[in-house]
Formats: sequence, structure tokens, C-alpha cells
Amino acid sequence: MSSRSKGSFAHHGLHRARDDQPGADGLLSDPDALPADGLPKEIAEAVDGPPEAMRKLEDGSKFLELSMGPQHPSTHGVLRLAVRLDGEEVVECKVDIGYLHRSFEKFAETWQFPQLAPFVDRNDYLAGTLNEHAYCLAVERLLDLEVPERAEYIRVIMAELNRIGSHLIWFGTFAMDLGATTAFLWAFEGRERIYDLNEVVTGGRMFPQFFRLGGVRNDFPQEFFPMVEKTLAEIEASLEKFHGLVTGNPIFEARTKGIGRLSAEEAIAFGCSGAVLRATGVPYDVRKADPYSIYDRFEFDVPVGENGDVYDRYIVRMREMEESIKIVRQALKEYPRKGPIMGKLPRRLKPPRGAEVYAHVESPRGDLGVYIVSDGTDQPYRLKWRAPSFSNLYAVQRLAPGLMVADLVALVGSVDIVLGEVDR
Amino acid sequence: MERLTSGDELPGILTTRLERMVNWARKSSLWYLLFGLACCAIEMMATGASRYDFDRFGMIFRASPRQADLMIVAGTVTAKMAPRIKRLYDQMAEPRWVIAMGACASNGGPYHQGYNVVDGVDKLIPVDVYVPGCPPRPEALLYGVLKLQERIAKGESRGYRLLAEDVQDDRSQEKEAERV
Amino acid sequence: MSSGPQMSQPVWHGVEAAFPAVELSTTKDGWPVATVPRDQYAGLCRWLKEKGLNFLASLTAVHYLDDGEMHVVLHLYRIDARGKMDSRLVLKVKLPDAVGEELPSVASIWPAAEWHEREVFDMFGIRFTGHPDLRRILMEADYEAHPLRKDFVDRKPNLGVSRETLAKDAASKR
Repeated sequence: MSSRSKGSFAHHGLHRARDDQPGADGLLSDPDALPADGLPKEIAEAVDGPPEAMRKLEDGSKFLELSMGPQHPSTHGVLRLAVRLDGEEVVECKVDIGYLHRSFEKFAETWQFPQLAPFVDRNDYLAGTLNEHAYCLAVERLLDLEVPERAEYIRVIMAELNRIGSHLIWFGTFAMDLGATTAFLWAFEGRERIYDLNEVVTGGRMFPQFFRLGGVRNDFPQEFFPMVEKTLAEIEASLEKFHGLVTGNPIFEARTKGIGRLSAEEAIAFGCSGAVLRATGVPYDVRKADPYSIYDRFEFDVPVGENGDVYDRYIVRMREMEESIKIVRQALKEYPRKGPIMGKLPRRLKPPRGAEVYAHVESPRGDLGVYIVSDGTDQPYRLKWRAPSFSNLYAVQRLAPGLMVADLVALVGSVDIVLGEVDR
Repeated sequence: MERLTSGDELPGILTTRLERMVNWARKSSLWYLLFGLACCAIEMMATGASRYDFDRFGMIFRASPRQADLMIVAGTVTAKMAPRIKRLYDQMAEPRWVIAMGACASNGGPYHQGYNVVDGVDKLIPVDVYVPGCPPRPEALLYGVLKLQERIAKGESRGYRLLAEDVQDDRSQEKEAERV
Repeated sequence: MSSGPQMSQPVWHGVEAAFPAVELSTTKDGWPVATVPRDQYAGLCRWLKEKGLNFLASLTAVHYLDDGEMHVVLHLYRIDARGKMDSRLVLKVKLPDAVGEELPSVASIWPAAEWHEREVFDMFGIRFTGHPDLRRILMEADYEAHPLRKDFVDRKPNLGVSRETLAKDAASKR
């Protein structure tokens, strides 16, 4: 027997939580809860079946309380849905978030403006450059920085390529939620092509860390241009394949049509944006409604749905990829081959005291806003990240009652949440 | 069978130690828990998808911890998530291994100062292989898996054993304290 | 800001006449700001919703420790059926910065505010009266502090033992 103390390896995670107050932090209960066989009480109960799970109501009907997540393949990360079921029907759904709350907004108050630009990639981790675009836009407005035209083109091209990549991964995981594994593998191959482009231009796969305040880090290398043409053609071809694989599939249609319907008024009231709002027929797209960067130079459509159901969200996103390809092609055609890619930056970045800005961009998930308050130093005094997934997820909580459990999976998948952005 | 017992020669027979044989079997079918925490999970999915293909190493994802041998902790561990990770680990059957994928799971990474962030999953569960990067490329994760396989083959990765011994020790300590 | 949408006559036009206590200003990037006293906040919100500001993009707070003030900031747009964003407004309310200060909830006006208010409650400790479900949203239910306040002292989760103890542990195994 060793003479090691109670704080040894096995126990510190369970018992020695915050501030030596067992159980006070809601982590796994206090040491006294350990029964003789060593299983924590909660686990022991779960094995025998927790007696409280079946709640008998006054009218005699029984409800099953089910906790979906935080580890569940269909919750797209660490989301927990506390669902109360009547048979297979959802009676009540409470969305529990915060499992990925990484204190980003507090960090932002301690970092300098240029330091934060690569850091924001990790918020919406499916589309790094779109985060950077929103952040750089806000700081550039705060500091009155000019961005050269060429840098704007590079930004738009990279952002749209990332949007395609993000929608591809959404397509793959959404199809997998509904049971189609092939679509996942095909979609990932498309995303790898986008990664290849990212890598050629920026050196990074997932997190390009490419936008700088006042411009971008580097120019396109020469091999990028033939590569992007080829990739866009390939993705167009694979979109055809995806439609053949999934869109007309009767099982897919049965599981998506008419499920999770949202009206336009509800969607606006719940704060939804992006494809969730556009599927209801409102063509709200920040690129059109409040044009930023050089999006007013390109011709593209804003795809809308009619019914606001899961199927329409799917169709809207699939068509958005085609529109993004159109934007990239136009931008490549007009791309000025000469000129600076970084604007002139003052040696010290000092915004006026008390100034505040709110900049928003159209991220793959919707209206992504950044609100910065300055106190005159080179750090933000307060930075608020208006995450589109946060509000879209709220709609899930409101839409869930009345659905079947399997439809809840389709609904969560169709909303396309990224927990990094919801929890920040 | 006849040929094997015929006596003159013994073709197709390989002698080995049972332990080595078992370790070989273990390392060759590492089923991993489908368990993503944050950004690194996307790269883990990419590693499992068509281009990098985990299946080549006998690795298939399992959605249930009961069927998994390997937990790839892919992402930032927050205080709210920590007890759930611990529980998932406890639910896995032994032998079990852990790969800390990415900077956050290794030591908190860029978020290590965060008020809600646990600096590394090794504060909760024993880690066998750390894969650096933010996020690590799929090649890096594959290299980490190969390293883990090497260690399993040699019988070196025994973090779960130490944990079990710890629990055993503490229990006998408690029993002794009761007796006294 | 030239890039902003055209706002010749915003839908909230006439707010000064209806609410004389409201102060109007403009942010650096051209967003109109209306600062409202605390007692007229709920009334103004209802009025703005009736006038057509139907989209609550964000509801957050800023803690000014030196002034002892907490500003609750709302970003509101109007999105019409054609997807145009034709009016926008930043709404501000100033409160004292004590934990537990109360403000009427606007979740009945803009349902989107429900989670935003929970987040502000969680991060800043402002209590929204009349809120349907005011609980912590990001932190654990029994967490005590409010992290985004400027006087927040970091209580990092001390889940582990120190590295020295771990090393000693490992040494005792050999």
C-alpha cells in the first residue's frame, strides 16, 4: 500500500473540484456519495435505471426524461438537449449550452487588437476567415483603416471558398444524422479540396489566420489560380452528385419535408438569420442588406425557401454553394493583379476613447456581428460576439415540442450550429 | 489439422508469447469513441473521412463508450464538461487509452488562462499520447495513433492500470482507516 | 458610414416627441444610439417594436467600473419581407453596477431576448424581471461569480493536483 495522499490521481478530478468544496460546483458530487462498490451514486443509479426518470403526472400519463448529449453524435459537438418525451413525441425541450464556454469575450479584453485577429478563427471553427472578416471589419471601422482594393478581392475569394467548405461539412454531417454515410465521405472529399486551397494560400488547413487589420497577410501564389478553377469545377460536379444522392431520395424527403416549420414572423422574432431565416422566404442576407467589403460589385442571388422547414433549409444551403462559386468566379475575373495587399497602419493603434462600433457579416450560419467598445487603449474594453448560431439554436428550443425524437435530430442538424460560436 | 500434427514439419506455426499476441490484437483494432469537443473534432472527422481514412489502422468510430477502446479528446475541456468526460472514460471498458488531441486538450492551449477552462485533460484522466497543434493536421493525429500502437504493442501504455491501482489503494486505505 | 443601408426616414422617427427623456447620438460607424432612462426602458421597447424594429440582433452589457455604471446595449434592426434592413438602432440603458440590479425583461417583446438576457444575467448579474426562465446559461448553475464584470476575480477550476504531486505519483510507481 502506498502512502500517497487522498489527492492522488484517481480522485482529484472527481472530488477535489473548485475551492475544496465538494459538490459545490456541480461537478461529480462529494466523496460521501461513493457507495461501497466504488461506483459514484449517479452511475450506480443509471445502471439500475434511475427511479425519477419516469414521472407520473396527475392524469396518469407517463413522461420519459431523456438527456441527449453533451456527448451524442447528432448534437454536433457538446450540446445537451434535456427532452421530456411522451412516447416518442417531444413534450418539452430545454437546450443546455455552455459546455464549450472558453471565456473568449473575457480574453478579448486582455489582448491587443492585432493579436485577436487570428484568435477569432476558433469561434466559428467551421469557417475561420468569416470570423476574421467580421472582426477586421469592426476594428477597421473603429480605427478608420483603409483596406486596399486588391486585399478586398482576396478577402472575398477566401471568405466565399470557406463558406463552400463550411456548407459542405454541414451537408455531410446533416446527411449522416439522417443515416446517409456515403454523403459524409463525399462531402469531406470536397472540403479537403477547399483545405488544399487554404493551404496553398495561407499555410493553414482549418484556421487560415490570414486576415490582418488593414489587409491580408500575403498574396495569392501563382499556382493558386489554375488550382481554384479546377476545384470549383470539381465542386460543381460533386454538387450534382450530392443532389442525385440525397435530394430526390424518398426517405430523405419523408424525414425533412414539413418538419420543424418556422414562419417568417417567428424566425425574425426568434432572432434567426442565415439559411434558417431565408428558408422561410425572407431574403435577408447581410451581403445584400448591409453591403460590406466589395460585395456590391458582384451579381449573385439570395436563395430562399417557402415553407421554412428542414427540407427548405437544405435546399437553400445547397443553392448558396452555387452562388458562392459564382462570386468566386467573378472576383477572380476582376481580380487586380497589381497593387498593395496591406493598407497603411499607424504605428500605434489607438482608437478614440469611448468609441464603439458594430460590424456584421454574413457567415455561413447567418448574421455574425461584432460589437467593440474602446477605452482609448490598444485593447478592446468590451467585445461582444453576436453569434448567429446562438439565436438559431434558440429557435430549436421553441420548435422542438410536438416533434418526434428522430425529427429533433433532423431539426438540430438543419439549423447548422457550431458550439464554439454558441458558447464562445 | 492433419498437416499440423503430421510430425515431419510444422508449416504455418508461429510461436509467440501470449501477451505479445494479445497486445498485437489490441493495437490492431483500436475502436475510438465518437467524441468531439471543439475545433479539433473537425480535424478528427477529416482523419476518419475518405482522404486520410482511419480504417486503414483498424480504427472505427463507436458512438457508445462501452464499445470503445480509445478516447481521442479533441478540443477544449471546460469545467462544465470535465465531469462528463470523466464519466465517459469510466464507462469505457478496460483496456482503454486516451489521446489528447491538440493544444487545448494537452494543456489548455490558447485558452489556458480562461476562467472556465481546464488546463489539459490529463488533470482528469491519464493520457497516453499528446498530439500538439491547433488543430493538429490529420497526419499528426495519425502519427499519434501509430505511436500509441507502438506503445500498446510493447505493453507500455498502462495509464488506465495506474488509475485502477490508485482507486484500489485509496479504497484499502479507507478500509484501514475504518478498522483503526 | 457610406457602406450602411439608406436610412432617410427610420421607422423609429419621432422617438424624441414620444419619449422626451431619450437622448440621441451616433456611434463612430454611423449607428444611431438612443439612451433611455431606466424607468422608460420597457415602454420604449414596446413602442419601438410597434414601430417596426422587429429583429433583436444582440442584447449585451458593458461594465464601466470607474463610473460604477452598467450599460445594457441592444442592437435592433428592422428586416422587412423583402429582406431589406431599412432601419437600425442601438438602445442603451444605464444602471448602477451592483450585482442583482433589476431591469424589466424584453423577452415578451422580442422572444430572441430570452437567451441574451440569460447570458447577461450569467455574465454580469443583472436580474431581468418578468423573464420566463432566468437561469445561468453558460456557466454551471451553482457558479457564484459573474465573469464578464470588470471586478471579476478569476476562480480557475482547480480540478487537478499540482504537477509536483503528479511527478511524485509517477516516481512512486517505479
